Amino acid sequence: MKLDQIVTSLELSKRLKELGVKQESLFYYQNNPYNDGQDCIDLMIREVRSKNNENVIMNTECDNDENIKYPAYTASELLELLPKKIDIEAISYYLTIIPTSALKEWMVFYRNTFLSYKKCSSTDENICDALAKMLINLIEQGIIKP
Amino acid sequence: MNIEDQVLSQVVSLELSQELKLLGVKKESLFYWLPIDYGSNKKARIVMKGGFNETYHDDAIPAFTASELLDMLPKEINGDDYELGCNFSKKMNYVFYYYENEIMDELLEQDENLCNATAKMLIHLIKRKIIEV
Repeated sequence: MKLDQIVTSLELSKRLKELGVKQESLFYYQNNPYNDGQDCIDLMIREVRSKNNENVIMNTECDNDENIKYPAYTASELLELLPKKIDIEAISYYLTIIPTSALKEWMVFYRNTFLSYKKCSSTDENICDALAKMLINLIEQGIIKP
Repeated sequence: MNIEDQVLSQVVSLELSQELKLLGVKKESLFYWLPIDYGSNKKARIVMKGGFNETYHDDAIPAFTASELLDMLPKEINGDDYELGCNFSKKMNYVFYYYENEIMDELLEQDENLCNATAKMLIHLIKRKIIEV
């Protein structure tokens, strides 16, 4: 899979930033200053060095504080941000992920027993975007705070 | 969180990565485990694809992310009888299963880490020859 398939889209990354979601992530969308002045946003990753000071990650982020950065969250990062359980009117709903019936998209929702009621749902072909939409949904509904 | 730990938290464990490689899963990954002491797989460091010379590292082990593993899991098995599902459980684990009207109890894997839970299900399916690599 390509890098842009394992992180949130730029559009949803921007929305999450607007909502004030924690800005720590491994990957970022950031203006690329090496692109001959063209307006372009690239996916960057923080620099990682091993104990022997070897650079083990390529495509590192730029040291330009003026550049606006948008975190490009991975599925694992989004799952750290999403509540695993939400309580609504004294009922607990647990996070659930399934493919949609057409099997082309992922559906994320909360349900109160193993195979029954579902509450709040989001779908997308990219699992990261499906999870991001759920996070946005919960924040916009006031169920969680960013 | 330290940035290297941040990477480690987003890939499958070394132990499960080794098992997937032994089972013949050869898909490319964004990250790789590189054994530190060649000939011994007891220790390894995590490296991003492109961050090492792949020609000299046949012993590199793909360290799949959750998205990569979810992409490999079949969404349904036994024709279209059983569909994939994943719940977060009361025991604070990610539980993967296949279900029709009921869950197939004999095909259920869980772990507190999403990547590891997904990898365990993939290993289970390969070992039972439900899928081929």
